[in-house]
Amino acid sequence: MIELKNINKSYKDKSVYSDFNFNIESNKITAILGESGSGKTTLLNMIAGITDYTGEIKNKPKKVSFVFQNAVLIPSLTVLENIKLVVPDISDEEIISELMKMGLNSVYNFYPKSLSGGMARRVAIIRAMLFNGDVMLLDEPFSSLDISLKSYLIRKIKEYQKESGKTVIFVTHDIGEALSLADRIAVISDGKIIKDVKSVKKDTEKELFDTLMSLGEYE
Amino acid sequence: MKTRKNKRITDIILTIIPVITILLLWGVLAIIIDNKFILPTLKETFSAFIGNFTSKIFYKALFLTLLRALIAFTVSLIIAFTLALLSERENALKIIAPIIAIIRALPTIAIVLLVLLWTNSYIAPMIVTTLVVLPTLYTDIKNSFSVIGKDQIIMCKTFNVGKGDFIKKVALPEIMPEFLNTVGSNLSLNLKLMVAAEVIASTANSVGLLLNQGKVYFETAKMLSIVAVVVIIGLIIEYLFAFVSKKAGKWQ
Repeated sequence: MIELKNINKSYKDKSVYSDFNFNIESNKITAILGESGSGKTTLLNMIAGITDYTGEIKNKPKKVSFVFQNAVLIPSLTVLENIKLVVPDISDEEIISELMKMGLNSVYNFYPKSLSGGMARRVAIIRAMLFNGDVMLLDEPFSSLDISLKSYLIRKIKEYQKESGKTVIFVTHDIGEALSLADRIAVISDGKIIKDVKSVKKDTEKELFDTLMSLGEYE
Repeated sequence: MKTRKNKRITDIILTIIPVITILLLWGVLAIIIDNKFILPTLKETFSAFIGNFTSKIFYKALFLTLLRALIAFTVSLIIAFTLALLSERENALKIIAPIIAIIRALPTIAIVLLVLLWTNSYIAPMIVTTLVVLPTLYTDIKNSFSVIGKDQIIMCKTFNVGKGDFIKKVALPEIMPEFLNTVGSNLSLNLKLMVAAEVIASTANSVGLLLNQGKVYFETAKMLSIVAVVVIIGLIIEYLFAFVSKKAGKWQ
C-alpha cells in the first residue's frame, strides 16, 4: 500500500496540498477524479518523484510506468526507438507484436510527427506497460480520444492489470472513465479527498455526479 | 510527384532570378559608366576571376584566410558552446548574459584597431572574428538547446534513461539540425568578418591584403573577382550545412 502522510505541496504562493493523507491499495486500479487544478497531476508527480513535497510517502514505488497526458514521445526517434529508449533489452519483434496487439500495425518505424493523438497515446501506454514498473500512473490517458478508442484502451489497461497484478493509479475528470476502469474512485478537490468510493456500485455514478455538481464542475 | 517536381523547378527559378537581375543591372551600368576603374564589365571581371586561379599568391592568400577563419570559428564555437551550456544554470546565465551583451555592443572597427595595437596583423583578425561571431553563435546555440522540451527530460528521468543515452539518443539528435544550420550561417559570417579585419590590419598573405592591393592599383575587376570567390565559398558553406542539417532533421 502506498501511504501519503501529512503531505504539503505548494507552487509559489498557491498551496495545492496541506496536511494531505491518502492510502492507495496495492494491486488495484484507483481513479483520482476531480476538476481541473484540483491537484490530480501533482499527486501522480509526487508518487513518481517528479515533483518535491514535504511529508512522507511510505512504500513509494522505485520504478514507475508513467503515461503522460500528452504522450511525450521523443520526436527524433521512431516508435520502435522510443520504446527501446526506456526498455533497451527488449527485442524488436516483441515491440512490434505489442504494437500490433494495440492495433498499431506497421507504425514501428514512424516518427511521432506522423502519428495521430490516439496513436501516440497508445504507444505511450505500450511503453509504460513494457517498462514494467512497480506501479502504473496514468495522467488523463483518454482525454480527447474518440469513444471506441477510449473503450478499447480501458479494456487493454484492465487486461494488463489483471495479468500483471500491478497497482494502477489514474487521474481523470470524467466520471464515465473512472466508473468503467477503476476498482476505487477518490474525488479530490482543493487538495482534499472529499469522497472515497472503495467499491463501485449501481448508485456510484449518481453519488459522484452529485459530489461534482456540488463543486460546480458540471454547471 | 508532379507537384513536387514543379515546386522544385519554381524554387530554382526564384533563386536564379535575383542573381540574373543583379548581373544584368551590373552589365547595363558598366556599359553606361564605361570606366573599368569604377565598374568593370562582366567580361573583365570574369577574366580576373579565372586569372585568380592561375596565381600561386591567390591560392596562398585564400588558404591562409580560410585557415585563420576556421581557427577563429573553432575557438568561438568552443567558447560559445561552453557558455551556452553553462547558461542552462540560472546563476551562470546572470553572469554570462551581460558579458555577451557588452561583446555584442563593441564596435567592430574599434576592436580591430585596439587589438592591432596589442597584437600583430596575423593574430588581430582572428581575435576580432572570434569576438564578433561569439555573441551570435552563443545565442543560436542556446536557442538550439531549447528544442529539448522539459516534458522530455522529465519522461527520461521517470523511465530511468541514463545520462549517456539521454545525450546520445535524445539531446544530440534534437539539437543537431538547428546546430548545423547555426554553424553554417556563422561560418559564412565568420569568413566575411575575417576578410574585413584583414583589410584593416593589412595582414600579409591574405585575401584582405589582395583587396587592399586591388584598391591601391585601381584593379577593380580583380577586387570584384576576389569578392565573388569569397561570396561563392560562403554560399557553398551555408548550403552544405543546410543540406547536412536537413538530413540530420529528417524526423522533423
